[in-house]
Amino acid sequence: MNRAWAWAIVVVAIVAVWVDIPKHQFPFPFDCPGVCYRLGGQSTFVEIKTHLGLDLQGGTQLILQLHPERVPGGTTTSIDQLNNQARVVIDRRINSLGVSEPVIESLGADKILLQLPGVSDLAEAQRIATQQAFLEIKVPDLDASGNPTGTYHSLTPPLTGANLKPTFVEFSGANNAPVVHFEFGPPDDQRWVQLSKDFLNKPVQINLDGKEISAPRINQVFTSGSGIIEGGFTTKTAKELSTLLNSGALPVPLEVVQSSRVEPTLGQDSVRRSMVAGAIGLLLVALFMILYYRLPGVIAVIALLFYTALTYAIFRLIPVTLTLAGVAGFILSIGMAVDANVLTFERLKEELRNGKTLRVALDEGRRRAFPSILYSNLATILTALILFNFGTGTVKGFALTLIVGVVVSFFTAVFVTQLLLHAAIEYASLRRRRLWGVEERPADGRDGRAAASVTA
Amino acid sequence: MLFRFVERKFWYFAFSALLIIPGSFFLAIGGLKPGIEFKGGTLLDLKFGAPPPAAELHDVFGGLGHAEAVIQGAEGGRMQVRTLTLTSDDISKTDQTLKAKYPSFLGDDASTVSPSFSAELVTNAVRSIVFASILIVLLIAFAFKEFGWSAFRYGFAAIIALLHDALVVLGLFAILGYFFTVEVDSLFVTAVLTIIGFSVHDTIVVFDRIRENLHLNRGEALNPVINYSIMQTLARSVITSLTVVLTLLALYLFGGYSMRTFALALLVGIVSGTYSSIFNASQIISLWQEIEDRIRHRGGRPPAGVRAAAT
Repeated sequence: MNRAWAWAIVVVAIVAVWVDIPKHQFPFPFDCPGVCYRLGGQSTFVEIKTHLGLDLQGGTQLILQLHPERVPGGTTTSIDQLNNQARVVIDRRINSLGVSEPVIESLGADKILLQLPGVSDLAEAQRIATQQAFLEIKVPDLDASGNPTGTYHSLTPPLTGANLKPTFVEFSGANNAPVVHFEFGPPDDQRWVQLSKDFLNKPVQINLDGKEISAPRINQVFTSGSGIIEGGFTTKTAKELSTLLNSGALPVPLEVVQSSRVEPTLGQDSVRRSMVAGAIGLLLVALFMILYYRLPGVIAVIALLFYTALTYAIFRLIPVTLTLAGVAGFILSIGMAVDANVLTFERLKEELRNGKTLRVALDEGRRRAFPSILYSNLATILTALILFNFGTGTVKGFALTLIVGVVVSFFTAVFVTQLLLHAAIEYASLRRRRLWGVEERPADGRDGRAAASVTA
Repeated sequence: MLFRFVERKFWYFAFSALLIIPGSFFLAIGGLKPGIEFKGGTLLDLKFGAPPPAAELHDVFGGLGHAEAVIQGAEGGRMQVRTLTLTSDDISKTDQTLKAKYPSFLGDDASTVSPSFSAELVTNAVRSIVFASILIVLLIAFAFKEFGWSAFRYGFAAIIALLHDALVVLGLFAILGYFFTVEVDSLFVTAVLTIIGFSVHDTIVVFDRIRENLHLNRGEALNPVINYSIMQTLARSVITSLTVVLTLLALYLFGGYSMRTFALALLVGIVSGTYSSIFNASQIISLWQEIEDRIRHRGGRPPAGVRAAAT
């Protein structure tokens, strides 16, 4: 049992270190900087890299110009309000792509400044920021005998995507093509059902931003407000459309008037110094643990290295955008990882001083430190989960790093440290009480080692 | 060696009050100054032939009375500077200073920027904390379920300790804001959240020891049990904070200028969290028990005079 755990932990450590290594700096035997696999005709490729936030890495800046004069049919909403609404929509769109912590500000009344960390895909960023995502269903014009003429017109009032429930991507049809599933909320769902009765066996046109994306034929009378959009999508474009529809349409056309690279807000120098400072701090912690706890201290440091490698690997895989706030969450979780070890070691020392043998003291120490570790970590995870759910921007990123950190620290402190401690007492030379930070007892004085060996 | 943690509780409460009351006063009169991220301001787009380093530019703006300036380099020799709202006089003064100092300064473009963090960020965070506090009370009550209804007082004591730590830090920054115009940003919000997490964590460890000792020594009075429970967890409390404080101290001393405020907030909060878990949280439990005993004493048994008359 223990052996199986040990192997599992070794495998996790190797995978974590593999994920942590920046691949593009090494000539790898195969040309893939991440996880790549091929199954039949499908191949997937996920690049693994550290995502740093705007404050640490800088990114791309787009300045978007509002064009209220291009709103079809004009608008009576003030430009300030349009600006606010547009920023809310952009924020929602970017957030639904993952936690990336953008900066979205109005620049004067008629411009929006958008900064995204990194420069992964400028074209995608521009599309997401400027695509209006105005969905409209149009019905066919009919000739005198009731046949469609091939042109379409809007209903009055237009049937738009304003009332959509959250859409999602599904796969349908003979070739399992990705489609976007949508459902109208009331009262538009009734209009959608009515439309299927009025235009049975005739095509309707699904328009996005005034362009037809598909014109499916209605084959049966609908019973609910749902339907699908087919448009020769790939999985990626289908997801993008679904995200755009879910975030709502932009209230006003936007145009990119400037796009440029920006440097980190914290300044390279400041970031570098902080990293060095953090490393010095951690080194001091490691030194302190070893000097104070001796052998268990060394084990704790090994467990902490494991912890750091695993957490960083998870940050790269999810991926988590690391900002200074996220680093704070990380530091706090290191503190908690250290704490779990300190709790166990203090108990261990107590048990040893009470005259227990190493093996018994180890088990007792773990058993009695466990509730403290469990409940204190649970409280932190609980708080972090709530912050993640209701938080926005920075707070959300912080919460995510904290959740990952605390869960991993719980795992390392409870499993890895214990396993290493138990492995250590298998060696007679590592069983000397002095190594465990307790004085040799006068009672077993010269025979301390022998006594431990017999009873262990 | 036994330190009298419980018997001297009113001294510790008084010390906490000494820390909290001035801070709360400045908090109430609006000492906490929201930074540009929450208030918005002016964005200057400066164009240079050869842009100066960000840190140097920050000093220039500091000299002009805008230490809050956030400098961000951009493509094409541009430097974007965010400051609190500048008047057109301020802008022309800035222009002159920059022209005098940097021959390659080509001019600027000023526009008003909205806050990048809405008030929503703060209200959401506060709402989340209130919600989380309720769940923490329930979690602690569940962990201490063997005590029946008294389990809830442990949860409440943990929340009071949490409020204590948050108030110490908020108060300190309200005072700093009032006298030295130190502003708080979104990083400060995360610092406070971090402190809250640490505070509860610390308190639970002490409480769990009390729970275990009460379990092992049934029938013993509460106060002595609290005393030696704190004693037993003292080494752990100090060592754990010490490790975090070491890291933060390194960040405060050697980290860049933008890290300073952040590291200071965390540093003060962690120390306060350790103080409240040793000197406040369990003492609240003790006080609660004493008050309850006194009330029961009064209600349960008839007053001495009445009893004497009856027998």
